[in-house]
Amino acid sequence: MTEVLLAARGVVKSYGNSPALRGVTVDVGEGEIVAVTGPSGCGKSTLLYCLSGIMRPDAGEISYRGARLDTRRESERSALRRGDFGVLFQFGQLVAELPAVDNVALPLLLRGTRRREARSAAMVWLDRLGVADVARDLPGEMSGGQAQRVALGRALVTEPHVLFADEPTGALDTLTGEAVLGHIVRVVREQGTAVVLVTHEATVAAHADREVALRDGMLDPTGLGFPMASPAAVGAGPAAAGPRHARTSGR
Amino acid sequence: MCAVSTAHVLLGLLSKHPQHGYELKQAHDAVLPGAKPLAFGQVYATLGRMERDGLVAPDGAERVGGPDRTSFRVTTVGRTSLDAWLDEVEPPAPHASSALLAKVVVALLAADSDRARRYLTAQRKAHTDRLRELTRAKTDPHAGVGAVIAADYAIVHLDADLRWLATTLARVADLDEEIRQ
Amino acid sequence: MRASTLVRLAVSGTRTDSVRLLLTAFGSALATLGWLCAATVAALGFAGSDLGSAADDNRYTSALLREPGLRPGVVTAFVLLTIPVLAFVGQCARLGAPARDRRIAAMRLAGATPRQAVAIGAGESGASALLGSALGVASYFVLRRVLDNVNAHGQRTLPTDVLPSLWVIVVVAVALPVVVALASAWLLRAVTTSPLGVVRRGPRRRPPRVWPGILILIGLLTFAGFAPLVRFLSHHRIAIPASLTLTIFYVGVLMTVLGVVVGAGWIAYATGCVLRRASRRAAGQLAAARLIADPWQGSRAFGVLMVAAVFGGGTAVIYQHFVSMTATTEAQNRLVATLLHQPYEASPPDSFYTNATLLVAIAVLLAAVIGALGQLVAISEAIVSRRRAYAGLVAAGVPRSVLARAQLWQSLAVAVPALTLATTAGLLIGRFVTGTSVHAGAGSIQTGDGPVIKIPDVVGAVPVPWANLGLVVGVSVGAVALTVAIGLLFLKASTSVDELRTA
Repeated sequence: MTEVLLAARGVVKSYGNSPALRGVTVDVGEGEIVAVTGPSGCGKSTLLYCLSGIMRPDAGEISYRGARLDTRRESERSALRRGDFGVLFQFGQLVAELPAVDNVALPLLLRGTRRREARSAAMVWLDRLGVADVARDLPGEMSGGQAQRVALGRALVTEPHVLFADEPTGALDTLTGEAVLGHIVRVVREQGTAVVLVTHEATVAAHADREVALRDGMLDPTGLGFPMASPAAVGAGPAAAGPRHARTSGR
Repeated sequence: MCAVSTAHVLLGLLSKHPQHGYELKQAHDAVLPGAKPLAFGQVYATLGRMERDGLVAPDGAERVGGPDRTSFRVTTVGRTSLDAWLDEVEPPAPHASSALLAKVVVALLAADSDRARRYLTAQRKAHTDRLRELTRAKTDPHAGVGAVIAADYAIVHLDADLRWLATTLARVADLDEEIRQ
Repeated sequence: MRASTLVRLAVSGTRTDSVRLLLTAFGSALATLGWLCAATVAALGFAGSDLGSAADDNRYTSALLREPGLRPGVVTAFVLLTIPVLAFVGQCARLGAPARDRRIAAMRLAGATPRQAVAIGAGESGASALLGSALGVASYFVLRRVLDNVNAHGQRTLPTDVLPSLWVIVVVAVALPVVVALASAWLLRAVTTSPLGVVRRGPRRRPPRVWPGILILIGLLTFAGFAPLVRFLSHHRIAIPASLTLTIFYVGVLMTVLGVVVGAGWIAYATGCVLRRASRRAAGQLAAARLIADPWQGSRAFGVLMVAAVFGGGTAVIYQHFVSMTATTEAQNRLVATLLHQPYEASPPDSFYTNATLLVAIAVLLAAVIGALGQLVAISEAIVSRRRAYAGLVAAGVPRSVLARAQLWQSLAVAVPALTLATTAGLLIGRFVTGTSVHAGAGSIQTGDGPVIKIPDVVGAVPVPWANLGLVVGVSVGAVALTVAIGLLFLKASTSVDELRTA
């Protein structure tokens, strides 16, 4: 039985007058890959922002290792992204004016690590992901697949416990996307990192251990587009699942 | 399309209201226009078999003339058989499965919404489970090129099935809205 | 975060960021210089203060420096002139703002706390402002040496022999970077709250309100009603202290200026609506749509020019007042000569007031030039930051000339009514202050041993100085047109197909 790392209960979030999340409850267990799926506009990205502390929900609770996350100050939540959490977006997350190695080293630099140490740690990751040759290049000078791997390096350089990935392969062609996904899965299995993977593609979600389907801001246990009316806990969290590697779904 | 499915499609159509063999053939072709148009002989033969198995019965007090003039209705046994068929999931197969198409069509047109939802949920889950298996097989570092290519083929087609399913559901929902208005 | 990291992150930037740093430094240097000049004149002392004396200081040739009563005006002028310079610096801070905001958002995503993000952003502006103020102090000392000249009578034209006290210099040098850093910290506050950079916010639907127009009216009414009020009160022998008069004057000017500047947004919006209805060509429609969608975008930089136009209008009227005063006095002198049966001797006109007004006009022109520079920065920034959209339009077949004309329409269609309004406001203020006629004053002369001859009051009408007012409007509109023309030079480079590359 794996430990629940990240728990959301009845999360509600609106952008102005339009509701994005209307009461979502979900658990993420240690080391498991959870795919959050659904059509565009269903609130998957918003759920990811709330779970990772980038946004504060309007109502509901989010807990990390048992402690409340959403009530913490902005500076504390930002500090989480330098240590326990790693974030990987579809694009636009690298600092365009810094070379790849500095981009990967950025979280370490921000928490006070010496430049040389930070850079060498960054190089290790660039090597591991097969993009050591673009270490000195700017993000604009490399291909999409390389940039995403650099971004993945930055997300993982602090050896986080949870990786939040929002459509990480959305802007890439099939084979490049597969390669990036392959890197993600391999590394998180090696590190034992949990992953919250937001995607609208079934072939990407198939890389996860478990799927959580959303529709119109609510959980959709059927996956067919019939959202649940009440925010009760859905299906199984990791507690009800079997041994990790034999698991095909939360049954 | 195999005979088993034809029987179930006819059962599904009959479960709405009793029909003659002629009407049944028209209804079948209208509902599954992509399939080969059903021959009258096949309709009557299937109806005969189903009557023999107790799945359908002549509608009305007595038989009037031959099977081409008789109206049939579905029996309780027939309904149970239909439900059992809808409870089964079509195995997610790599090639275009018209069995899947038939079942989804029947589920949406003939079954009540709860049963339809149950079936569709289970079918989708079977597909996504299979997708996960195939993806795991594909990303296995020991997988050979042939295995990867075969897995890709299956994955792409299963993905297509899932997409079609989602689109169909949305379409039917739209149709329902129209009918209601 | 270590200091070295902060420096590294603060100076990581593109060419645009370098331009921004340089311009900020340049502006800061000018502002520091202005403040130091003001401090120098203040160091000469004001009448009644323990630094100076009430007597004229004969070390200088210029009356502005000699007479202690005039020095507060000079100091005020210098301080006021630094305001457009600071507005220019503020305008420069917006250069490349989208890219800078994105960079900071990316750093926030990587885990920078809001405080760290503010430090990085404000540190960048504060550093360039510090560089600028150091340059300003250095050039001040250099200019003192270079411009020092002593004429035959031992007099100087400029107070290059006076130095403000050391702590004043230090305060001036330090105050500017601090102000700039605080201002950029405030500007960055929107980004510090979201690591996602641009938050999904609905477009601003409310058009700008008309209340600035009401502000203008109140300001003008203050002036209109003030003179009659004074007369009414003096009838009833209620004296009004001069300080109160001055305060009301300043308040009235402030409200009018504020109303004019804030009202620029409403003018832009209204112009957009008019253009949309009246224009039949693509360029006009494009300009109209942009004005309606974001009326504030162009009008912010515009503010300095509008204030300059207000002051320009007022100065023109005051100038005319002094000219008429001189003419009326001369007429009275002629009259007196006739009454005394003496030949009329033309005496050289006292050009002090007219010269002073001309100096004020030069100062206003200077402010206008600085405003135009800020406008230039704003337009270039607008064109360069939209290059992807423009390149897409050009690639889709829109002729560049249409885009250029749209930009011209957008700027001039707002500039002409706004600047006319501003000049008119200045005109009205001037009129209310100086009145429509001048009196040479009645009096009497005791001729030697003869009878007392009464001298009647000679009244001269002060015409509205249409020519000069037209000049004010023309120059300011011309400045806008010039800045647009220069800004359009960037259009060709901005619309090359290269800008469309995504991979």
